[in-house]
Amino acid sequence: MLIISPALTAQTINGDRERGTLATLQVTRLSPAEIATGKLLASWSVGLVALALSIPFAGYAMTQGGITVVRVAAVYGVVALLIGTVCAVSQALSALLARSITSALLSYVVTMTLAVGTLVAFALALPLTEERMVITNREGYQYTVVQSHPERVWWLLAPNPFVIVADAAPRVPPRIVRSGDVIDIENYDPLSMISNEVRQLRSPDYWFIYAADWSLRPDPEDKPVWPYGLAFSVLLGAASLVITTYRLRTPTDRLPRGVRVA
Amino acid sequence: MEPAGQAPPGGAATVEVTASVESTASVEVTAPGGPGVIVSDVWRFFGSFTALGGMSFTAPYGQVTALVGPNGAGKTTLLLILASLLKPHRGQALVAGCDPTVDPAGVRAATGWMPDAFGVYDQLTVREYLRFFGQAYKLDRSTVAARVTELLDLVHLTEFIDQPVHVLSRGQKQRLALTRALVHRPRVLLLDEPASGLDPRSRVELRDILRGLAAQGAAVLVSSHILTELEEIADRVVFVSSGRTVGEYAMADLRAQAKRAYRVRALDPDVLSRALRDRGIAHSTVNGGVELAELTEEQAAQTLAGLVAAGVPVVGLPARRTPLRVPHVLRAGIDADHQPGAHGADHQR
Repeated sequence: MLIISPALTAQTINGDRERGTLATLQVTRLSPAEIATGKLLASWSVGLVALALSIPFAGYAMTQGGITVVRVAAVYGVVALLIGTVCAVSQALSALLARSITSALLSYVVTMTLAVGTLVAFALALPLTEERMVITNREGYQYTVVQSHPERVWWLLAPNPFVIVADAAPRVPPRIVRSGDVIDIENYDPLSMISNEVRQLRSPDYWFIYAADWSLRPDPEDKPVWPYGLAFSVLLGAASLVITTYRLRTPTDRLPRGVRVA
Repeated sequence: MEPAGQAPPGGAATVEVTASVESTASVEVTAPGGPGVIVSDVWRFFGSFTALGGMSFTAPYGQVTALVGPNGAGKTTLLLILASLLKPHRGQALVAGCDPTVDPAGVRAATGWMPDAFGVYDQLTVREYLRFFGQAYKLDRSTVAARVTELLDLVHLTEFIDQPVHVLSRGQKQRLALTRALVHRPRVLLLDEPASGLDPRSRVELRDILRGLAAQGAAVLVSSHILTELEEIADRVVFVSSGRTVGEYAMADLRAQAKRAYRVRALDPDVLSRALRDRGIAHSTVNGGVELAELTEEQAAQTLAGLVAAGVPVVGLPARRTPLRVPHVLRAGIDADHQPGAHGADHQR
């Protein structure tokens, strides 16, 4: 989806300019907002069709058990929204840049920034949060530790589309696995793992703080990350749509280099 | 209406030329509500380049006005301003009574615009294409359906109604683009180089369509870099050069002033050449026929009357097809494109 969506949208505006079909649309009674929204809905719906093609696989996974309809619906809903964001961003780039090849490339850069760049940024930012701390243990022995504070930079991971999807998905009910005498409760799947990781970043259970009383340790479950990520995503998409609309307004005063009106 | 007193900086010569031409003589015919298009001292810059340097003219309702000038004279820029796509930097334009900068919606509802270079949505059929634009102009479905058949009939594309747009030839696409510009019954029609690349038959059809629209009361503004192309289409000609108006003419006046060579045919060539010699009329023998030197229409009529009166059995006096030329007073203001030589070359493209 992250690969298809920019390709769908990256030339909706400047490609139309190059083909000479944009200005004929702008002189109709359609408002810039209508043109921008219409074009976005068009490319978004193609993205959704591509997403729909994967439903049979999800259906198969469901029949294998363990995954509820609610979970599948939630994942699909969030992915659908994220496709909309990627489309909107690519469209805004297409409206801002003169050449469709440039906007296509930049759309991929933005998408990769969200998917990979956020991880890199987090990894780079984490060491900056390191602090020297003086700890007194139960025996009254003092020593210093160097401790990083992921709770200060966890938000760098929030816009990551994989994090949003994983964290927004409802939890899988724990599975009881018996092997011989050992009874194990499994509640780990790839999405839950990512989710647990990022939630723990928001409220790290420093051994040295809660060692005295383990019950004070905050429950990571209470601190979901996805609302922030999804809000960011929706805002980014809305801002992109506004930029596109703004760029489609006519009559124009300034023309960027290399842009033709018609 | 016309800011005759406003001289653009450094443009004094142009103002003089404009003033010396009886430009307003042909602008009397105006429908109620004033002319369809009023351009008064419009300036537009692209960076340091002055695309329009104080262009002024009017295009009345019920007439076809030609905007003629060499490439780069600012015709396309002006039409973009009138179509409410580009802001003028100075001056004012009024299209169907609305200022495109202040009330683009008002302009768009009343204006049809056809750019010189345009694309079509290749995947759509002709019907879908027109229906799409009809709906983009917020016409209701039944109106659109009726309009589509009506317009395709007008431009003789009815047989292509369910064909994909990409099967159309260049000339057919041009006609389709014209129907797109007409779909909402605009009162003002702005056409950028509509005759370029059309074969003679299509050009005749274009002429008939545009004359028909003007007869129904529309103000039609047509641009071209070749005067001859619009000779039979336009009622009025506005000459532009380097972003300025250099003259406005009634086409009839231009035609009357134009000097052409006439070929005289008579039953008895000897009697004819004797009569011409006796009357001191300059003539030459070209390709076995007798040709009179360049005459205006009036002079040609007088000559013919004289020959007939002298008893010369004249069979015909056809004018040789020569391109209509830019009036002499304007030559200085117009680039090489409009010199007769370059003109002919253009025409043959």
